Parts: sequence; structure tokens; C-alpha cells
Amino acid sequence: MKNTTKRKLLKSKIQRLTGLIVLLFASSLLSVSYAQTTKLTVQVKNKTVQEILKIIEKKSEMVFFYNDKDVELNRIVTLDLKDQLITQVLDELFKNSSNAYKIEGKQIYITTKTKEGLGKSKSSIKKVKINGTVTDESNQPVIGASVLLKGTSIGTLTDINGHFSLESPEEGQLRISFVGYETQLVSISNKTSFEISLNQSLNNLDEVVVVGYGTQKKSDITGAVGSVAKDRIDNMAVTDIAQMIQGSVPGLTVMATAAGADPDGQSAVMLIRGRNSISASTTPLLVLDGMPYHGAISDISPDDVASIEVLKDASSVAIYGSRGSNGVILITTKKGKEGKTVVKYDGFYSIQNVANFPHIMDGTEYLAFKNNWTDFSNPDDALMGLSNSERAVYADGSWKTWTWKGLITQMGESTRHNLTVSGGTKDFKYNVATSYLSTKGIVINDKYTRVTNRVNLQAKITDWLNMTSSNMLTWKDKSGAKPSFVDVFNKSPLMRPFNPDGSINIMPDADNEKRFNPIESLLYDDYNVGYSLTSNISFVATLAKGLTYTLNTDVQYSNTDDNQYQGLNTGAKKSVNGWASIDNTMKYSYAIENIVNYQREFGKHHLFLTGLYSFESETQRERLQEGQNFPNDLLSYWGMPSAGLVTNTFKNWQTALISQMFRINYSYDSRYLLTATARRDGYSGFGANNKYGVFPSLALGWNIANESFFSSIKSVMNNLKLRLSYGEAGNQAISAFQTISKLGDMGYLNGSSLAAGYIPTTLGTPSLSWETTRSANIGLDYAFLDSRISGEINVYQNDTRDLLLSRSISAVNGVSSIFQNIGKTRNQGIEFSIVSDNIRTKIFGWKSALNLTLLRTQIIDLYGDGKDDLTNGWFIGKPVKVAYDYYTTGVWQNNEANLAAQYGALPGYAKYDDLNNNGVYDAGDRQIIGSTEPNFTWSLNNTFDLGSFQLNIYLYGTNGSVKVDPFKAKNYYVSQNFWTATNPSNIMWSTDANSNTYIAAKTISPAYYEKADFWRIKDVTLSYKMPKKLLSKLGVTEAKVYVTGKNLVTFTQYTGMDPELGDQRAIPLQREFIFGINFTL
Amino acid sequence: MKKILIILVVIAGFMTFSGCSSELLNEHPDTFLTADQLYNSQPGFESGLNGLYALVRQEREGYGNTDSFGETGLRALMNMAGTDVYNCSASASGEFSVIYSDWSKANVPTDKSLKSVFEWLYQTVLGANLLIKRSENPAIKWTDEATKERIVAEARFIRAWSYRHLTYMWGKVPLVVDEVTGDNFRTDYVRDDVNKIRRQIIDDLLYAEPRMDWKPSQIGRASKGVVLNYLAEMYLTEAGKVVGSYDRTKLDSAYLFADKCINEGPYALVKNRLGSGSGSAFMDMFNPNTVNIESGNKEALWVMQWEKNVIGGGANLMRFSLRPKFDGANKIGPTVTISYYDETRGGRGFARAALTKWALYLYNSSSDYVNGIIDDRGSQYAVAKYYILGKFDTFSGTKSLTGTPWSVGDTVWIGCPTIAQCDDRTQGTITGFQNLKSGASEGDTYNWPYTLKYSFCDTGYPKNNASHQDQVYARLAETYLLRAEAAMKLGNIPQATSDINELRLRSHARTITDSDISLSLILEERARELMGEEQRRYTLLRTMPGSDFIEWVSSRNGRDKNIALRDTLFPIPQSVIDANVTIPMEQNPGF
Repeated sequence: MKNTTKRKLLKSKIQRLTGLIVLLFASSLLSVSYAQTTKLTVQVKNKTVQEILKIIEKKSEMVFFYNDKDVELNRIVTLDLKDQLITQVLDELFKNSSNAYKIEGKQIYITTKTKEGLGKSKSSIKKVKINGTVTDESNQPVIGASVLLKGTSIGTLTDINGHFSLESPEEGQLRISFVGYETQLVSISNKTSFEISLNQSLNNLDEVVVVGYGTQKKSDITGAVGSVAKDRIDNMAVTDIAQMIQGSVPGLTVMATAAGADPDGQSAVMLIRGRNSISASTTPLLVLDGMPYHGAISDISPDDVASIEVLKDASSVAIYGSRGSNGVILITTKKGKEGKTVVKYDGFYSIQNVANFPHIMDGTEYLAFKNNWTDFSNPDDALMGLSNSERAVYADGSWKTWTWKGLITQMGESTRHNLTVSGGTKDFKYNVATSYLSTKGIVINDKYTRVTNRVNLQAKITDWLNMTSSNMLTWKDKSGAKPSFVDVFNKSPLMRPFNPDGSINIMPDADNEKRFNPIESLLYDDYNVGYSLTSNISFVATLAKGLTYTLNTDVQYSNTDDNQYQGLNTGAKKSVNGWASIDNTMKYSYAIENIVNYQREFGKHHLFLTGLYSFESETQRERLQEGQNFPNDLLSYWGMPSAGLVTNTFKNWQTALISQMFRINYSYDSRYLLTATARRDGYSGFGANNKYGVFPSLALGWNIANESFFSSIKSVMNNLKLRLSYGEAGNQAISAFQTISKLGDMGYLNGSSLAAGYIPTTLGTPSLSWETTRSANIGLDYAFLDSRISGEINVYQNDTRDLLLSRSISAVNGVSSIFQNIGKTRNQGIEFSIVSDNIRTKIFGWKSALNLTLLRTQIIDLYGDGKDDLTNGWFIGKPVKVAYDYYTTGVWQNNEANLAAQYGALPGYAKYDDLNNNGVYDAGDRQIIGSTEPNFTWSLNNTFDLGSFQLNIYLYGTNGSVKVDPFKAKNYYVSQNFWTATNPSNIMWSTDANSNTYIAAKTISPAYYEKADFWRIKDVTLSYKMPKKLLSKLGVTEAKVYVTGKNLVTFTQYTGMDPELGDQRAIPLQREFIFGINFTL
Repeated sequence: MKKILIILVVIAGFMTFSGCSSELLNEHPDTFLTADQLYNSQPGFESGLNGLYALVRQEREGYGNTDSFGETGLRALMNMAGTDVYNCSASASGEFSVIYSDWSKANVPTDKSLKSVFEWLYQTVLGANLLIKRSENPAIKWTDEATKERIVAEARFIRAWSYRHLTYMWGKVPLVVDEVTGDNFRTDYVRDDVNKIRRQIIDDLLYAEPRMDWKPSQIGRASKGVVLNYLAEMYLTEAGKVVGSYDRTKLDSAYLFADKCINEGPYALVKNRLGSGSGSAFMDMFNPNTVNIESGNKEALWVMQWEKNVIGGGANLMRFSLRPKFDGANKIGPTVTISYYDETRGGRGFARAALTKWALYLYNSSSDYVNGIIDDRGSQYAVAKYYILGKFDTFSGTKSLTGTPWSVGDTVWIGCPTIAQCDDRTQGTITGFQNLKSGASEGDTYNWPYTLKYSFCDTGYPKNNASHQDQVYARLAETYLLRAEAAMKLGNIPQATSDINELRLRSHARTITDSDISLSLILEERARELMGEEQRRYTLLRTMPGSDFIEWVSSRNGRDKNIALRDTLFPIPQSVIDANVTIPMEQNPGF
């Protein structure tokens, strides 16, 4: 401290934001003549030299380097200079002083005059000119690395090619540092040229993490905040953010319900720390660039993402108050950086196919299946099963030339191009990106095209006022009516899909008009195009030292047109003479936030206060017009004016949220940390007397590794932090107007014209309010061996009460369900993550990251009486989503005929568990077969580096759920091991019409459940960074080619289409191969 | 200066959003109505009534299940089938047909059809109560007091209609007469005594009777005649069902209300043809062209309205559910396939219920085939007995009588036991249905006679499930039968004889004499007259003790299996019992 040189920077605090800011100085090398051209006005009265230096720094791009001891900092000076060159200003400043200066680029070195001028301050030391190049592990130049002569203020930054040069003594050490890399010390010892290779730093304690309403250093965080690994964000070729984050943060579960070209249609279920709520939404709050985001996550281009954080515990989510209890996902997009304009292109092409197809019956197998079916029961079944037309098709053999699978599915293709241009000056930075994605799915007519444009700006308006703005415009086209994927499995192979003239035959079974041709969807018109716009502008004003005021404004808008027509020429709608629907949905929302921050250090005390006052409004409008009875197909859905019957439906709802929030962050000596927050929210959707709720939280942190007693083992364990948090957050996720009783349209006729009528349809609950989750979290962060091994463990319990429950009430009330605040759930879990740098040598590296999530969710109470709700399948002590059904144990065999008869079954019929042992299958035999959602999720990522090659393998798995295998039913023509008299299968019952539906006079058809545990090689990427030498000739800074394989292999005992998907009959996850390239100019 | 500016901005920002924050959080729904908005003017109350009538009309509509041709699952089967007149038909694969096909298995508290009917009836009660209570608001401006009372009278009539269904189907049910809201909904309902509910039904009907007009207040609404008809029926119900111990004062009331309807109202039996062409006066009442009161059908007390391609037009399923399948591979016999359906054949059917042999045979005794007397109600114009082969039908083989091949234009008699006999009317259906199949084959899904009262599909849409022709829901003939029943029970046999003969003469059937009069005869006459109209289950349950009902039905319905004493009532839906969390709700015995 005493004799070291302080390197004075403009804003010392920002030093922590190292990654972004260090680059600012790269620009100094680009404008050598700056000092010779820039003119300054400096008018000060009786200021110290130190103050004047600061003023000059603010007004110019110059940075001063000096040794405190050498400079008369407290000398009082008065200057009155207008439009003078910097040299003139400095001459005036140091006139009559003991100091001299020297300008190098934008850096000014101040020394003492007495030592006969600059550069000879250390008397007789000889100066030499040295230069060098700084590269990273893959031999790419490091731009903006700091090169400092140790113990002095002499230093510079590397340029765009990683070069640096400076004058230095012949002896001494160079200190080379860059954010994210380990700092290196290099002895000069008379060398003049240096090749320095930096190693990536494993220590992420200084990383800055986005938290609600601000950022925090990772080491200061007290809550449970998970970040998606930067590698995954930067290197993973995905079309949708949901794919990117699956498995990447412990505690965050992403479950695909279906796949297909349209990422919206995949409607991934995202849960943070399990399902707290039963009826209200459990979707986490999405916050995009600081503002709550109401659009589809798939509208955001994954290329634009800079970081994703997941807030999990009460301490981190309580600042989002009534919307925090489902957790919060913070998405931050890329910002421009000062310096040369960077142009980056990233593009890929991929092909997709279905990973797992069951064997589908061909004509012969189908015939055998149907004939077999007639073995037991009445002849009607045979006739209902096989039509004359099917027999004719079989006889003429035309079925051999095609299959439904062949007609309905295709090889999928996807193309993506992304272009980003970013750069800026000190006062104005920009990041502009455009992204194009086009996907042709594996099912015909399944198409998706998306264009996303993003403009992110940062401007310094005055020295006390900054502005940032981020804007996104997305256009997406999902047009095209696709057949249902399940048609591959449940359509007879003995049909005539085409007419003799090659056109689509809308009655493929000539004997049955109800059997449609799945590919007749090619005859439908379907137009589905949407726009969405998100724009926010934020002003930050510095009011006083440490005190800032921020005004955030945000506008979001989306509009979707979904028009469909199924005409007179279709099997589906010819009976009503054509049908059309024109559906327009518009959403808009705006938000205004006022934020006051105050940040000060008092010795070892660090205080950071945040206050918020905000207002948000969200509106959704829908106009739906449906028509039928068209005179002809000529105008498609635009023929609506001539439709015989048109019905209009309008929806319009609005919600508003008014919030106040206050947060205290306090730390002492970076050892003891405290975060206390309270948020008060008022939500329009709740009852008049219950609109406001308050959500407090408290968190404590202890950086044990910073204690003096810890220093002895710090070489082994360099980080240990204990975190405790406790608090409450709410869930308001119900739609508008639940407190109001509604009347529904129920028209009658006055003769032959409409007599408008209305009937009560819902009962409002005037006293409705939040559901509240109280959660406790204990967390431990650790790092060993200078962070070669690091990670964290969190243990938590969430108790949710006053559930917003759509409960069943007695139909005697006239309506049989109502929203109430009733019931309790509890989620407990353990989350574990570890990142390990296994092998690190010059040529070979191996890194691993493992995430484990263990979760137990249960309903504690429903209606206050400790009773289960069988109607809804909710059970106390069990997870919210369970399979409650008859349990299939096998097939009745020939030697069990007598026992089978007691149950009304024949040998070959499905056998169920007679749980209550009363000799009949009845409602008492239904049982909880298992949770339909996993309780254990894990992911393992391994990265191997070999020279310029990198191989990344990502494994993902879940355990603890059961799923129905819907194909174990006779209406799917999937080859099964059917029971027959000579094939006593115990897996699949016979093809007899009643073989699995004989319970309670055929009204119950139990599903067949299987364990859905699985793990899969989710993605594998091999990339190659092209040699720099070759690229520089092409004017390219960086270039990479890669190949990615997705969903390559799945290990499971589940026999349905895909153990991950919620809907087995929908398009399954595709196996995909991606070929990509990206380069930077 | 600049800091002052900023501070001003901050203050302005806070002011903007705190000043009117309470208003910002108030909700203003604008695309749906609330009771407060609707029930503040007379036209609003009329709209409320329309909603109630649309609910009532659903008795002849579906549950909301659909296939590609529209709705499926007729509600009216709840009281028409599973009786002596209608069985579950051979298809027995949907809704109430499943229950009737084997009572012991499928008449269970978890049945979805029972649940939806229960919910529908109580939703109607809720809507009626809401209207009735809201009419008490003194701020509402009525045209005159009579209009207000007429509107309330119609709502109370509909409430009575709902409880009538509820008590016949489930016996004791909770009686709710107040508006239910999100604040006062209950989880502790108690099932009220049936007599108490019947008193409420009668109170509501007695309130409605003087306040409703002989002529419906709008086309498609109920008239005073319907109220009188229901009053007569409810008093007959109250009079008891044990022969010899009837409550005579109740019988007197029943007689008087029926009598008032017949004598004082503008109604009259349709004795002359309303239409032209082949047919009968009796069947003209069901013809869409002449069904409405405005079209001259003076017998109608209540004609429900349907209309295609009009909002509020509804979807009537009576044709669809009550006639045989007539679709694709559907056949009369192995060699004759009726594969074509158009308007002349009445469109496609779904065979959810089929007439019993017993009901069809009833016309044998009211007709005298030898002397050419054929009861119009069982004639070929009323009950489908044959098809004429068309060019789109497929057929092969030869006819049994002539030995010649089948050809276009030939008559194929429905219900013939073998195809060889389908050309022989004596083996078929015309002369008394004597050779209809029995046992498991009774009610053949494809080959079975059916009532032609609803045999009308929408022009151009023979395949669609729904029809949109207006249908008579209550008519004076039933009032005659109620008066006859009251007269008989009061000992006034000649009156009973004359009432029944009045109906028989209109239909050109054989007349009866006083010695023929018995309860059985009246029940049979009701079946003859009201086949496909009558809520038959209720009639049987109110006229005979449970054990007699079981005996009566099981000896006359050849298909439906295992009906037992417990099946005189349906089980309270399990969801209703489960949701009554505060106190246990008792289930009907045997379930």
C-alpha cells in the first residue's frame, strides 16, 4: 500500500465488471493522435491537482498513471483554459511544480522533474523497447489484456491482434492480466520480445452475476442463484432457449411435452424447484433485460443471449414479490462494447429424423390382427373393423406401394443464420443482430420460420446521465396444417390415400366416411403469422456520490393471425359445407419502474440500498370468428362474409400490478453478508380487500474462506461460503376476472331467429388473494485447488399455503368448480453442482460439470379436512401430478380361466391388480401408480480440448416418473406381442374387442403405465477453430466449424415413443445433426 | 440545476402512479356479462329467461361430446330408455345406453352421463333462482306488474321443471331456492325430503299458472297449458301409488287442473290433416311444417324451437339417437345393404336406443288388421317398417316369395328374422310385428323398426348428427291421459273411457269400453300415444311401487339386463358426494 503504485482508473468500482470494461482501453491504441488533436476546456478555481486530474479524465479519454509518492496531488491550482490542447493544459497544470508528464496514446504518465525528465525516474536504469503477443489457450489473440510493469504505473493494453509494446527497464517483471484468465508474471531479463499464452481462470468468484434489479459479484451473493454455463450459451447450437437450459442449472426442470418444428408448440414445461401450485400457473417469471417478459421464450433468438440466471430461493425471488414463488429466469442479451466494430456470423444447417419408431403393421399384419380380433367376440366387431373397401385394397395389393409413415413423415431440415454487428465509442455502444431460422419438421406441412432483429444501445448522455435501450422485433410464420402425428399409428394400412388421378382421396375407406385421410391436411389452408415487439429504455442518473436514480420503461406488443379453412373438398368439413376460423390475438403490456440505488463503503462496511416503485399493465384481446356453410372454396377463409353461420367470440382482459420494493445489501469485510428485502404488490385480479400483499425475506452469507483462520488451508480450499435464506414469495398466476361471477351466452330462438340468452357459468370469489410460498434455503459454495474444483450445494424447503386452487364444489351450487385460496404443498430438495478441471496441459484439456437435482414434492392439505380429492387425482402426501388408475399386472392365462371368469374376463384379457381384494374390479382398485414427473434430474457435461479441436458431450437423465404407453391399446396398429391361445404373452393382451375394457361395462379403459426413467446423450459437439494465420490472410479474426448431434442415444426401459415427452402421440424428439460455422471479422 | 430536475422527475414519477393506484387495480370486464349488469332492466330479465329455455331445450340435445358430424349422446334417454318402451339397443356403447344394457354393472355413482345431467339440472336451478331473486330489486323499472310476475312465473315454472327431473331421477336432493354466489356456496348440503321438494314444485307451478298465458309469451316458450299439465301430474304423483289408498283430494286437484287445460284452454286434439299427401293427422303434428302452434297445431302446449345455421339454433339429437344405424356396411341382412341415406330415409342414425318389442306389439290390440282398422299411431306413417331398395344400395340373392332376384324398387321389410323373408310383409312388420327378433337380437342396431316422429334430417345434411326441426315437447293428448288416470283413480270410469276413446278415435283405432279400464291399460295407452315423447321412466315410477316397477320393466324389456330395486333411483354422482366435504351426503340405497 505504502509504496506501490496505484493505477488510477476512471471508475474504480467498475473494475469489478472486468470483462466488459477492460476492453474500453483497447481503443486507446487505436487513436494515437488523440492527444494532439483533442481540445479541452478546463476552468477550475482552487482545486487540488488530484481533483483536476479527475476532471481531465472525465472530459477526455485520457487516463493518468502515476505513483502517489512522486506527484504533488494536494497542490492547489487555479486554471482558466479554453479549447486548449491537452499538452497545453498539462503544461499549465504542472507549471511551477516538481512534476513532469509524458503522453503515450491516451495514457499520461506523471513523474518528478528532479530526475532529469521522464523515463529516468529510477536514475540510471536503462530503458528498452519491448513488445509481444498475448494469446489464449487455443492460440487466439487476446484483445485488451493489461500488460503492466510490476511495481510501476507503466503499462499498456494489447491491441486487436493481441500485440503490445512499451518501454521498460531491462530487468523486472511484466504482469499480464485479462478477465477470465489467470494473471501471469513474466520476467523481462533483457528479453525484448514475448509470446505469452494465458490460461483460462477457474476462479469465478469475481464473476458478476445478474440478480433482480441489478448485478452482484458472485462472492457477495447470499441467495440461491444458478447461472447457465457460459460455454453452453455460447457454443450450443439450438433454435430455442428452452433447449439450451435443460439440465443446465440444478433445480430447474425443463420437460418437453412435444416436439416439432415450432418451438412454441413444444411448450416445454419449466419448473423451478418443483410444482408448488396445483391450479395456478407454475411457470417461472421470465425477466428479459431487467423487465418482466410476457412473450414466448421461443421469440428470443438464442444468439442474442449473453447470460441466463435462475433465481431459486426466497431471498433472490422475494424482490419479485407476488410473481416470485415459481422462481425467476433472468435473460440478459448482449451489449455492444467500445472499440472496433465486430461483425460476427453464425449459421448452421441441420437434418432431423425420428429417433425411435415402433414397428407399424403392414397390410398383411393388419389383416391378421383384425382377423385375430374376431376370434372371441361377436361378428359385428369384425365388420366394424374391416370394411369391404379394406378387403378390396388388400386383394389388389395397392397397399404395398405406400405407408402412412411414408406419406406423413419426411426428413426434417433446419437452417439458421445469425449476423451480429457490435461496437461503439466510449459514449455510445451498440449491438445489432439479425437472426433467421427456418425449420421444416419431420411431419409434412410442419413448418416454422422466424426472423428476430435486435438493437441494443448504450449511451452516455452527460457525465451524470446514461441511457440503455434494448429492442427486439420478432416475426414468425407457422403456417401450414399438419396431420396429427398419431395418424402414422392409427390409420388402417388398407386404404386408398390417392384417387386414380393422383389427387388426395378424402374418403380413403370407401365404406366409412368417418375415416379421414390424414394427408388431406394438405388441402387445408392455414395461415399463422405473428409479430412481437419488445422495447425498453432505461435512464440512469447519478444524483450524488453513490446515489443513482433509474427510470425503466418497457413496452411489449404481439399480434398473431391464425386463419384456417377446411373446405367442401375435405372429409373433415364437407358435412358442414366447409369451415373457417379467423383468429386474431393481440397482447400488449407496458411497465414503468422507478429505482433508487445508494451504494457506499465505510471502511470495511459496504452498503447497497435499492428502492423500487413500479407499475405494470398487461392487456390481451382476441377476436375469433368461426364460420361454416360456405357456397364454394374459392375465397378460402376470406369467404367468411358469405358463410351461412358465423359465430364471433371476443376476449378482452387486463391486469395491473403496482409494486414497491426495498432491499438492503450489507457486507462487512467481504466476510459477513446480509440481504434483506421486502416487496409490496397490488394486483388487479384479486378481491377488493385483498389486492395488496407483502413479501419479506432475509438472507445471510459467511465467506468462511476470507477468515484469517482459514488462510492455512487456502491453498487446498480457496473458497467456502455458507448461505442461509428465509422468506416469502407469492403466486398470482390466475387470469383476470376470477373474483367476478360470469354469465355465459346461451341463446334460444324466437321462432327462427336468435333470442339472446344468458346463464350463470362461473361463481366469482370476491375474497381471492395470493398463494404464498415460504421457503428456507441453506447453501454452501466451495472451491478447491485454486478453483480447479468448484461448485455448490443447496438444501431447501418450500411451504406453499393458500393455494389458488380450482377446487371441485358440489354441483348443487349450480357450478362445480371455484377458485379459492385453500390447501398447502411442500417441496423439499437438494441441488448439487460440481465443475472440475480434470486435466489441463498445453495440448490437452478435460473439464467436467455435473448437476444433480433431487426433489420431493407433496400435497400437505387440500380442503382442510385431510381428505384426498379423487375427482382431480390429488392425494395428500403425494406429488401434485400422479398417475391414479387401475394397475395392469399382465394377461389372464389359459390356466387361470376360472379366476378370470370371476372378474368377467377370459384368458387373454388384461389382468389388473385387485387392490382391495374384493373379487371384482371396481373403483377401489385404482391406485397411485407413480408420479408423472421425475424427482431426480441430472446432467453431465464433458469437454475435451485437443489443440484447436474441442469435443463436448452432454448427458441428461431423469428418474422417478411413470408414463403411459398409449400404444399398448388396440386402436394403434403397432406390432405387439399379442396374447393368443398359442402365444401366452404376459405383456400384451389379446386382440379381442373387450380384452382390456371389460371393467364396469366397458366404461373404463385403464392405461398401461411404465417407468419412464431415462438418460440420453443429449448432444455432442465437435468443433474446430481454424488457424489464425490462415484466417488473417482472409481478414477474419476468428472462425470455427462444428458438427453437433442431438438426441443421439436414449437409454430407457420405456417402450413408448419417448420417455421425456408428455404427449406420446405428438411429434417425438428428433435426432438431429447440425453442421455449423461461425466467424468474426 | 440538473439534480433538481431529476428530483422533480422522480417526484412526478411517483405521483403519477400513486395518485390513482386504487382505480388502476379495479377490474372492468367488458366481453362478458355479470348478473349485476343483466338483471337491471326488463329486457335483461327476458334474456335471462331465454337462457333458461335454452337450458331446458338441452333435454333433447347432447352432452357436448362430439364426433366429426356433430354432437353425440342424447340427454332425453335419461327418462325414455331403460323402460318398457325403449331398451338400450344392440349398440349399447354410449352414455345412458351403457347403464341400461346392464344395470348391475354400469349404474354407478361415477357414471359421467349421470354427473352431467345432475350438473345441468342444478345449473338451471341456479339460473332460475338468480332471476327470481334479482327481480325483487326495487330499482328495476317494469312495464307493469303483470309483466314482472309473468317473467318470474316462467322462471319459477322452469325451477319446478328442474326439480321434477331431479326428484324423479334421484329422489331426495338438496332444495336450493336462493341465489348461490362465490361467498355463500356450500359444502354441507343435506338431501331434502321428496315431499318437501314436491311442495316447492307445486308452489312454483301454482304461482305460475295464473300468471302465464294460454299462448306462450314467445314462440318456443311454455304456455299455461304446460303448467296445468304438470300440476295435474304432480298432484297425481302426490296422490300416491298404492291402489286403494290414493289421496282423493290430490286426485281431485289433478283432475281439475287437467280438466281446466282441456276445457278452458284454446287447445284441441288434431283430428284433421294439417298437411297433405300420404300420412295421418296424428303424424302431421310432428311434421316440421305443421308442428308449430302458429302452423295450426292446436294440440301443442309447448313446441321447442331449433334452427340450422342460426346462433342459438341448438342441435337436436332425437332422430340420431332413436333410429337404427344406417351407415356404410350397415345391413338389413347379409345380402341387402342399405348403404345410401338421404332426406327421404331421414338421414343417418346412431341406435342409442331401440323400441321394445312390447311397445311395438301394443298396436296389435288397438288395431284390427283383419277388418282394416289400423291404429294411426302404429301405422307405417308412424313407425318405420320397410325400405324401398334404391340404386345406391347393394343387394344380392333372391326373394323368398317369388324366387326372383332383388331389384331396385323392391320393398325390404324391416325386422325380418332372415333375409329370405324380407320380401314377405307377413314375416315383417306390417301386421303386428309378430316375427321380430328376441333376446339379444331385440333392438338390432341396423334392422329394427323406429318411430317416425323425429325422422327428419336437415335438407342436404343426411349424415349430420343433429337435426334442426322444431319439436312438440308437450301436447294436449297427455293431458287427456292424465285426466283419464285421475278419473279412473277417483272411480269415474266412464270419463276415463271417454278420454281414451277420444284419442283412439282421432287415430282411427279400436275403441274401448268401461270394462277395459285399468291402470295397465292407461299405461299402455300412454305408450301407444306418446311413444318417443313420454318421459316414460317417470310415469312408471309415479304410478307403481318400486318392486312393481322392476317387475313391469323387466318383463317387458327383453334386452336390458339385471334391473333391480335399487335402480328405481339413480346414484347421486360421486363428485357431488365427494364435494360435500363438511358433512357426508347420503347415497341412495344399494350403491
